[in-house]
Amino acid sequence: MEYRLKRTQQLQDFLKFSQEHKEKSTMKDMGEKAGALLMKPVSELSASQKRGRGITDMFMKAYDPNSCVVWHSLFMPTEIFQAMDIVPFTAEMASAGIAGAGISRVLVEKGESYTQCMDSCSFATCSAGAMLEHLFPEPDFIVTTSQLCDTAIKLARFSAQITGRKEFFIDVPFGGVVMNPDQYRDAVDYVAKQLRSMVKFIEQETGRKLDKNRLYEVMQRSNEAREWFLKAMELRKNNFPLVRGVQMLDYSVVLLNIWGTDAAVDIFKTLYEEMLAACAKGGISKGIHRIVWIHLRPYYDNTIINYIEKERGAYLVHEMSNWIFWDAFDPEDPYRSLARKMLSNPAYSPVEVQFDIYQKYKKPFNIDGTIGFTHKGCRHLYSSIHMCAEHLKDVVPWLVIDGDCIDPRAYSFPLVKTRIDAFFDMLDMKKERME
Amino acid sequence: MNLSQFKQTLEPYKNIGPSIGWFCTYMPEEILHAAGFNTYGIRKSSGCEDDDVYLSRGLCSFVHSIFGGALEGKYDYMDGVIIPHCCECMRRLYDGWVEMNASVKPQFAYQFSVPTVNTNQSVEYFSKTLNQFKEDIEKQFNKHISDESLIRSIKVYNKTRELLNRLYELRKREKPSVSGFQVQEILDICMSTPKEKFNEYFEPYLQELEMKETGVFNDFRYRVLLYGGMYNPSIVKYIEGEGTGGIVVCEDACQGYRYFDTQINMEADTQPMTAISRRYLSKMPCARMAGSHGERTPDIVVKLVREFRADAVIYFATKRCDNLFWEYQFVKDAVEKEKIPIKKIEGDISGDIPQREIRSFIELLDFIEA
Repeated sequence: MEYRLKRTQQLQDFLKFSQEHKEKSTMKDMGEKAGALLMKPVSELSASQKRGRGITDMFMKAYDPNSCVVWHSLFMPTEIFQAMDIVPFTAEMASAGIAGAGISRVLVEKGESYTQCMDSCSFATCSAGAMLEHLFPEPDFIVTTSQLCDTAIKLARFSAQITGRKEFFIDVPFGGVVMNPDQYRDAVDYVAKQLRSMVKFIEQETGRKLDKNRLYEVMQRSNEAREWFLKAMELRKNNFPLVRGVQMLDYSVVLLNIWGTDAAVDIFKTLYEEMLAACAKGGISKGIHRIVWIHLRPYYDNTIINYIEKERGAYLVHEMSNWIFWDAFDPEDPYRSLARKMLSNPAYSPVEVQFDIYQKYKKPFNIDGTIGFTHKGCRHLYSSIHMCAEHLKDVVPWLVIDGDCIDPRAYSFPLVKTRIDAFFDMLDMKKERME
Repeated sequence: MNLSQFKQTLEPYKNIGPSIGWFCTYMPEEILHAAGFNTYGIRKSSGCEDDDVYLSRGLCSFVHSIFGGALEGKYDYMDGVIIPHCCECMRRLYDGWVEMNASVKPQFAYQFSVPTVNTNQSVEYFSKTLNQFKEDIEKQFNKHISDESLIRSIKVYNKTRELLNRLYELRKREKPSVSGFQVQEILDICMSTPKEKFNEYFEPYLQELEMKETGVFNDFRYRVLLYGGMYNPSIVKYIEGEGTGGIVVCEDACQGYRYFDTQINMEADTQPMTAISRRYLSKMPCARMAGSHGERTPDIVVKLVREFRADAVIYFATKRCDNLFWEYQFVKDAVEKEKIPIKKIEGDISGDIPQREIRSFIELLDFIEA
């Protein structure tokens, strides 16, 4: 496993690269921030800090030459990896961190020099750029699914080529949410079989064996974390803002790779407790407009969220990326449980599923408006957000902001501020009329 | 008989109903044919890309063309369309069709999931998906599709594939008796005519072409393999035009070889739906395929270059198709390793093509040959 020895140098190269190429960023020096989080006792950290620490911890472990590391696609559940003590690493999530550190532009340009495509998803091109610079930790193997997009599949194939590591691919049928019971049963069986094959593949590649009891415990922890998070979300229904929008967007629980860990349980339990305490105090501020945020955000710049919260009196009451779309796992039936989770992703279904969900948010969360932030290269979500805005315009006011989550060249706050102001002016007038 | 005469013979049978349209070669036509429908492939621009203001600009020109055409009534002679979930752009095409249902024609649209891998498990799963598709078509149109009718349809479409394969054999000759442009026309006719009629009238025409000893062009031409998904057909016309100096000898593309390369094998699978599933997943992969089958693409391109004795590859990357853009480097690496020149062209499925780039590339082949 000589390839693992490269990891130490890769981490140093990454930190050096971030020093040399850093532009404006939303976070302090990466090394400094990571170090600060790791030095403090966990009990002294807030939920958001614990989240940051959990992710940082996982990130640092991936660079440890003694770790067994899997590069996995964004929507691949990580419970099996956690049960086998395999460190999950998601290139796309790393891209978000890279953008936050202010070094995404140069890596996106590097990635574009490979794809020769200027409008491909910048999560992927940034990742490709980082791989071309050998900044990511050498994986032991790669696992990809067909969700949610074509680019993720191609990025994984590129990853396998550039690292020389083997890839295991899981085909997930599209439209699980709208299948009839027979189709759904067949789809669950199909995905579950592939998950079993994946375990065999991992065992062969790594020499590790999956302990079924361990997997049972991990699935239970995932369920526990899920319950705490749902309880926390429930508190947001009838209250003033309990947590800042940027922090909630950064949870993006559907993308987290720490499900199944003790850390995830602790994070969401702490989040719930913090929200409960904030509830008792009447919230962290007196916001006016209750907003649902669709998709992700510009990771290189917090201006937009800060502006709508501080200057326009809005606050986020829910986010698409925090929508728990899966049922609790049955730890006795882990493969089918995981298959059900993979099949129930509403973003991997006809857009009508998203119409239904967004309509369902309105009453319980008492929504005043929805903001959809489109990511330029995300073909399916870019168009579905526009479709949702059109379909639901009579249900709740929508603002669609065309931007990019990773590439700072494709977005400028001054250019979108006018539209944001017009949207909130309209909401202000609506509120005045109702009063 | 020449091509014009062949086209005229089939003109009365073109785009007649009852018919169902399809947009992707992963749509098993046999199932619809067994239900009594003619199946028509929409394989070129409707001319109405700009009429689609509903689907977002992040999608490819093929999808805009289809949706614009649907809004303008270009497909209103059809009873329905099938839009397999084969890529992100097709995903939203189906959604748009459903959402704007009152404004599009035909109104019936159906979507099913197509596996991205070719494994025994995916073949088995896809055959179940296709069985559900069959049942839904039966219900929608009050039809019955028996195994016997499926087998009959398989034979018809296998015959079409056999004839088209024979057509492509002619292009392997030192002096092909048919040009890329002519093949494009023939495939267009094939995809817009009932297959029985196509088979009946094409076979004698094909026999004439097979007996021709002279090439379609008298002068020396550089042999080009065209790789793509849905490409702009003007590119073929230009490559073979006066002064450019090329002849397209093969297309590894949705409008080309990928449509018909393999037969449905009823000996390997006795159940017709399993045989259909296996054929469609194992055919020449398009850039959307993954796993070991999808990864064969670069080797297939090299193999085709050898078989068709191509001098160069032109890779047409349809704009806003991530599959094609990301696949390019894999194909480029494999092709350049074999010292085969390759040129990437970006474009939409209609409109202008970068003529100067194409011409320069072909002229450059003189120096490589030297």
